[in-house]
Amino acid sequence: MTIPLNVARLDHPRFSAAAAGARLGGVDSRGVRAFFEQVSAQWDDMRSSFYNEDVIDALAEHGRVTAASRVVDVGTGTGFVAAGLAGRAGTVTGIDNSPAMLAVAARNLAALDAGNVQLVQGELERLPFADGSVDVAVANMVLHHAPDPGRMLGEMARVVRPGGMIAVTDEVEHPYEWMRAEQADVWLGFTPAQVEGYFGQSRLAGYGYASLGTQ
Amino acid sequence: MELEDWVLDIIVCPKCRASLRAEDAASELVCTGCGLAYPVRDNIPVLLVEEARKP
Repeated sequence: MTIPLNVARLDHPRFSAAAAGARLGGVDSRGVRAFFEQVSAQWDDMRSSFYNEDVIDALAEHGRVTAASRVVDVGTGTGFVAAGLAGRAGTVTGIDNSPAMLAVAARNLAALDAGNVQLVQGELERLPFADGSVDVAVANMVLHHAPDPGRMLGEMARVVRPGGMIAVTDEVEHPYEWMRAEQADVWLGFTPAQVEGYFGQSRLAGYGYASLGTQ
Repeated sequence: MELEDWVLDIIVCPKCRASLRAEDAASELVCTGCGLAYPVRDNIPVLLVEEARKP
């Protein structure tokens, strides 16, 4: 199983814009949530075949995370990235729509004794965070589960302050159709043009795109 | 329910985006705008309109 991962970086979000995106495949956000409700206990083993700690380094670097940063981890799942950023950021708020995944995240974070991490249950395309309330928004391997990736990125742009950063890691476009059924993937990765389109919809001041290599 | 101040500075009502007030006794977060009351389960705010208690 080798899927190349890329990180996309955006500078200086100003404000959000609603985006209309076409949905591919038969999975909607309810289906995605149902999938993660079922696999929550096994997810930390399952995901290790798709990515490792390198994504945390990439998100911290491209998101310019500092010890003072207020970070939101969108689609935190079992809290892998939130736990990894806890020691590098001021605060980390992890949000997910699956209570079973959040229950695992709570256990993982309790073991870490990270006092600066808060978990929240909510919808990723309707983030319950105030406009411009954080410095950095990150999302690791979440965008391909979003029925409307442009809307999700638009929400991330809305909650980040002007001058803040958004960092996203995800798969590049791949042909593995089976991942729709077995991984509840809505999108089979993304092309640079797709990502550029989503970011353009969010009216961000700039963005970059970097390869994380194949994991 | 033990939510720190920095959390209350960030989270808002998903319906109207007004700020939330902690009601510790009821373990709820009450919207200062529309009045919807969101449960907090195992210290995790459940900020879903369909799970909120109407005022």
